Amino acid sequence: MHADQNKLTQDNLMGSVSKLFPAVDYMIDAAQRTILFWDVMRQRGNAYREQLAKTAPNVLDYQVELVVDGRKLDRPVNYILVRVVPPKGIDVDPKRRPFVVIDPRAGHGPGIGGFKADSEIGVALKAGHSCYFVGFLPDPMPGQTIEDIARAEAIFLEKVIALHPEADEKPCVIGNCQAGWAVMMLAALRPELFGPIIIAGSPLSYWAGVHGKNPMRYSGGLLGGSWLTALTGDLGRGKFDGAWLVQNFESQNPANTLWSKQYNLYANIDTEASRYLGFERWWGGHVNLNAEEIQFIVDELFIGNNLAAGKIQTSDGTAIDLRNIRSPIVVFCSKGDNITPPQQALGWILDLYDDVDEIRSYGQTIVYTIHETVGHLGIFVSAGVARKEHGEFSSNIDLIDVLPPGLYEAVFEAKTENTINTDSVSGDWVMRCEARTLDDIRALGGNDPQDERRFATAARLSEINLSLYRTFVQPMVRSVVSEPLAQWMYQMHSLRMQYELFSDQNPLMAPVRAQAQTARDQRKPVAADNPFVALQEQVSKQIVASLDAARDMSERISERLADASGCRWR
Amino acid sequence: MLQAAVGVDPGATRPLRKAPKSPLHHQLLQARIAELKSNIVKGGEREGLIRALLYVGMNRAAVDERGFETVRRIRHAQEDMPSLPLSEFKSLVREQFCMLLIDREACLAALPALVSPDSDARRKILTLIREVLSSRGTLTKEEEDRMHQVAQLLSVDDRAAGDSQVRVLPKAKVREQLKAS
Repeated sequence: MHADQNKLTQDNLMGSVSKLFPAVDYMIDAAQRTILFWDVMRQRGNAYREQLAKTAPNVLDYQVELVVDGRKLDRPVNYILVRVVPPKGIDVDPKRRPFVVIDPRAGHGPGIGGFKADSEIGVALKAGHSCYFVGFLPDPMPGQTIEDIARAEAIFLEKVIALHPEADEKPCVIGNCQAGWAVMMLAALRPELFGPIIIAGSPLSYWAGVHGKNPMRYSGGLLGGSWLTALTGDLGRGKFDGAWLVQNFESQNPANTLWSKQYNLYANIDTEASRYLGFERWWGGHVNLNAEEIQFIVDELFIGNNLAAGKIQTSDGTAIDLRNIRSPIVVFCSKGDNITPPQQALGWILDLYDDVDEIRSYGQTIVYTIHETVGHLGIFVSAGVARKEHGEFSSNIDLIDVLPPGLYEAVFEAKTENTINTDSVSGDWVMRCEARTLDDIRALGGNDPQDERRFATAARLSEINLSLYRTFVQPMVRSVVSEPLAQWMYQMHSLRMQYELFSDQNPLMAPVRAQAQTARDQRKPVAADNPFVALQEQVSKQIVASLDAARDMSERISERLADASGCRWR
Repeated sequence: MLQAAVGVDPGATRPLRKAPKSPLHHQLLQARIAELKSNIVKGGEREGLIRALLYVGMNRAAVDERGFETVRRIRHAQEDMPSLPLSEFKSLVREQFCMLLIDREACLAALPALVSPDSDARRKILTLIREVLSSRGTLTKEEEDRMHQVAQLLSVDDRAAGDSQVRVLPKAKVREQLKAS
């Protein structure tokens, strides 16, 4: 009773004080937010440790059942095929073609294609298709190669086809980001296994881009090439730590990595926590590659740009020719994507063909769509994109399949009252495939012969440096790095540390939990028009602006350096 | 100098990563074209309908989901036709499309021989084409001209077909009619 009264007077007092001083209001709010923020960090650390302890960590929001375990194949790989169990209330039609979603193994764990109901898997299920998911385990099987993975994926697809004898057509395969090139390579080798192929945010022409943007394409050349990849692999005793890939990705957008992501959580702590934790569960789970795998990816694709040119051969000598693909290819990319800009997602069409008639002569159908703004991750994570683009692709997949060969752009028109015939439209948009020519792709911008030579020079330098490294340095590095040392370096990776440090493992984090509970009970969010909130917002914007400016400057410098090294020394 | 040192020709103007072309492909292509040409006169009602539909519609160079949905509904509504799996429909469309690209005149000339001589059946073909193409809006002038041309080829008065089936109906009613089908 006494305590209650006490609290009452305290509340009254606080109320009257706060009328006088918005600063007091703001300080209470800020103090509570700080505690809640650190509590979210603590939960993030715990979730990270939980994911780490699982055999097959993933962020799929669906119940799945194992269909094929790649580890038990003749050439074992750490990939698995699972069937997504349709949630209650969703009926899949056995006559409709199944969908297979393949996630990228680019540092993060699997599951992002089925992260929530508004996802690639969610919209495909809604359109009545059975769904399968190809994911992977955190560690590679010893000695597995990119080719072994392709073989395993072919077995997966054969299995899916066998499980759906009633389906009217071959499965539609979605390859996200780095899974996109893997899907395209397999489809070139085994075209008969594929229905339409959707590649989302996938780079296929690695040199392509425009000046003043897309600096990631220079990173291969600037440090002398892929010898660094080999060194990293040797330091990991044959394993390449996925955290490096994540770090490379994060460094593309320092303002977001260092500030906005955390600030957004802090500023909206009452509403943002669960979304943030959900995303971090994916972002914080790192998966590893064999050193040979990443070496192939970096040498042949990222630096060598050999895929579209048909310069990659399988172990039995078959050249991988993307013109062999018989199924329609849907390319989904975005102008807002600085990891895979539209030029890198579409440039391969120019590398393969001289005009649309040539595309037709190979019987190929290519449909592309370019989003105006969404960033790289948004292509597979954003709910809006899933509902619109992926939703329209899923429900119109048969239309895409029967399009006559050629090049088309998929255009989405919002369904309005003036739209005629709305009952034959699925979803909120009307999809139309409009014929395009190669000039529409060229208009996106790209390299002139001089740029091409610079990239070719960087690729050659990379090869030379790699062989020098292999001859003179590698034996020494390999003899020095012991298993415990490799383990230690793995644990000490800065990306891993930031998760570990703030988990319950750290005794200093223990009080945070109790304090956060108190803060939650007594939460007093500040009024939206509080002048200090506006000030805080202002400061945050300045921080973002200066980080962006620093990034832009360093990008310009790296572009100039790349230009200079390839050109002025001539 | 650096470029020359590592074996990249500093004067090269050709793109350095371009897929090689093969004479074999050219040979296969010629064989395929010859095969398609010889098939222009072959086929029946189905081939004729798809050919006429593609011919009238291909000028707009765009495929709308509503048009495809209309095709699907017509398929469901026509119980008398034997069912056609999607894969066969796909190759049918591809073949007819390529034939029209290769030799449009010959394709049109062969059209009357593909479809049944019965004028009611022929009129039905015209109605179906109009139904599919108008699912996204009224036909353009060029499309009307092509409709007319097909009607003449089939010796049917397309005005009669149009008047009795579609044209006299106000737009709203056309919509109702489509909903019903």
